[in-house]
Amino acid sequence: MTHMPILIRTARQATLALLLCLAAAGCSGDVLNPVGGSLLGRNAGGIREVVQLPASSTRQLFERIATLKPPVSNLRIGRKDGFAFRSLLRFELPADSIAAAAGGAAIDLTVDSLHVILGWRPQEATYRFGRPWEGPFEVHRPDAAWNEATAFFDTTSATETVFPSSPIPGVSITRSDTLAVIRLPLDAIASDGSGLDKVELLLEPGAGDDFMMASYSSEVSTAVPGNRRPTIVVFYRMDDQVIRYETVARQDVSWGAREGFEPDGQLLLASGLRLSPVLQFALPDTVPPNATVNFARIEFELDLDASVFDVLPLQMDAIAVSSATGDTVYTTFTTTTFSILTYEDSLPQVGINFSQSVIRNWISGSAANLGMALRAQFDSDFGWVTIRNPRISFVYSIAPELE
Amino acid sequence: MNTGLNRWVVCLLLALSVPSAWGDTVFSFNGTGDPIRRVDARSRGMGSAGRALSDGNNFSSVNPALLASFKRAGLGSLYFIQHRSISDGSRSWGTSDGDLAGFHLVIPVRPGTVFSVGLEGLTDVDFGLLDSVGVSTSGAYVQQVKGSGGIQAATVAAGHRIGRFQVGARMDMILLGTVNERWTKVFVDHTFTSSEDDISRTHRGLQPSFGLIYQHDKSMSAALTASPAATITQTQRIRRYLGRLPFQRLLGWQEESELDVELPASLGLGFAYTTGYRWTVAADAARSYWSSTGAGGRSDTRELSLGVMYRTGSADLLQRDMRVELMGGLRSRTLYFSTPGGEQLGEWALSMGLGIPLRSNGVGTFRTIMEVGSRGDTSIQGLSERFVQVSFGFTGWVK
Repeated sequence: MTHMPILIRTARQATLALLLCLAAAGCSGDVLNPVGGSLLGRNAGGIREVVQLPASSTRQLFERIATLKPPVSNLRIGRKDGFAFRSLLRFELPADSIAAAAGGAAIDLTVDSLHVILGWRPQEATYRFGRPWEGPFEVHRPDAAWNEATAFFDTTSATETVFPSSPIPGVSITRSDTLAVIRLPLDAIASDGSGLDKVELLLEPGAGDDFMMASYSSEVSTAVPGNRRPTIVVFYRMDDQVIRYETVARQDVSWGAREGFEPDGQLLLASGLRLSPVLQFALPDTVPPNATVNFARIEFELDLDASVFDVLPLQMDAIAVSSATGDTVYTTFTTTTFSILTYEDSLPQVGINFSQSVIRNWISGSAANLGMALRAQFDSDFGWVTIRNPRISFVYSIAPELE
Repeated sequence: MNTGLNRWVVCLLLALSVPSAWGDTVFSFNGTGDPIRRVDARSRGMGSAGRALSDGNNFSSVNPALLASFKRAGLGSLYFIQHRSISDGSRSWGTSDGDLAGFHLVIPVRPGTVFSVGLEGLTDVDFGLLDSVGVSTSGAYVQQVKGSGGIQAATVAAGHRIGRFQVGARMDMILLGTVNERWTKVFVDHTFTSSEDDISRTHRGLQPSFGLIYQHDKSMSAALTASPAATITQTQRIRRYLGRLPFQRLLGWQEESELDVELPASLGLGFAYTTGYRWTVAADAARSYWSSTGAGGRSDTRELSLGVMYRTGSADLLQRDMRVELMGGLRSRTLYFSTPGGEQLGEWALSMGLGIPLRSNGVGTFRTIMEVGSRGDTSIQGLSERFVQVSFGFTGWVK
């Protein structure tokens, strides 16, 4: 019994310590037990799949034609899918400075020859028979004032502006895989007596089969080997001197315009033109409204023979209609990028995983199933992709049975 | 730390600690949970017997008539830890858990009339399952199910002595406690977002219980307890989440519904005999009528308990001797849950315990109880569970 006080004190302190520790943090095992599945008397719900559900309806959304704002790397020329693409270039020839450097005056200069050199971008061209197909083009003289900020599309009326031009007679074009040399008649130089002469060109797609091609623009970086800006080379004669003058285009711009565009039957995703495929999928009634969607993916074929792009960032937008205004509202749920370097054959299968919440909203009824639009993210360049056979797959889980 | 401060700290902790899951059994998943034995630490050491053990030191809430024997205000609480080993014959799994089970404050208002308030669990759910489930072309996923929580109640009770009889009534106000289920499907391929369905059930309602003790003499007493069936309202909230990450949980949505849940009627009998000071024996029997609660597949349950207690020291009123309690007991019960085979589950346990006074002048008692038992039969239900449960009880007297 002599040990009793010690025993009592120890028990008291142990009680207090125990209650302090355990009341502060009740303990429980969080590692789940793998034994006892037979005790689940309720249906745990399973995993189901909807595989390769084709679009129940498609349509082509045309929003606008953008005027590409500098810096852009491509000047587009071509005619494709009901659109024509044109480019304007302006070169400035400071005749006073050129003559002064040679010890004379501008009035003493005579032009011997006039060439414009364009650097082609084969990877930005349509293909035919496995090779870049750069179709015929014509060189026109613009008959209206323009600059790089000119809008070629009236957004209020959703119509393209008609830009007047007239062919320049006497032009000869020499082409290789990577260059085009345009020999211009000497009267292509416009002189207003200010000492700053100008050469303005409009590159117009020629008649024939559709094609698309691109040349480097004046904003392209020359730090990259092979990049060649549009350049004019002028040979002057002053007395018995021959003066060679070369300069890069001062301004250049491309735009597109509809020429018999028929939206039906095509699924074009275009930047610059803002063409967007709208896809609707009729979800099967077997998907319960309270299912959780675990995975969603859209797949389609890219028709590269009917596409022109280098890199095309795109977004997937859910479509809704504002109850307040009645306007169509696009909500981006997934973004990705098409890169031409990714694909090896001409009709690659493309799959994009997208946010499951879109499907979940449709099946739960929290959003009307008005479909989704594939839209270009930016209008920094003209580029488009022709897609075929869109279909979605998704995986969903059934909620557990309630007791 | 002085004794007064100790007491305040302990009381504060007990008051702030909401009794939560009484980690009990893997079989508790279906239904409203495993009914918690509403006995104090000493009865737990005596095989959960003690309905009739009316000695002013019995904090068991199973019989409100016990309150009438209290002569001074006191606080009783119980904590436990347990380890369970679950086996399906070919595999086994061990799990450990523990929590605060509840507490009661007993307040005599005059000789023979005593009130009590408390907070305790009525049922418990404690189930965890990790199951690999193969699935078609989506790849494999792991299904996790976690059930926890239980029905809890704030209780008010009163006991009164009338001659040789003690009567008592208790009202369980079911306002607290939630049964939570989390069903998660996690894909092996992390390209797939996992899904999570959380189901929470909250309850509100009342269930009364009554008790009667007949004190034949100072040595022998008998008890009768009864609870009528009660219908409580259960609110089910189902939250579905798109994944388990915080931002995915923001995308969750919720459904809510209400339904009635029946708690069963029950009857209990108790008997206690004491030699005066040294030895005490007690025996209880109880039956709950779960088959009448409206849900299919449930069975009525019975519980038999037998226990003995031996006390050292002497019956000295000044308590100058060390009064150490040594307890032992055994119990057997059946569980109401439906099992896949429809066979009723059985449970048995052996218990032993030790009670040590916190001070020789009787300021309180610390008790520790160990129970070893088993429930289920692998050959019948396909699953069995063995458990070792250690309970810690604290009773303190307010001077």
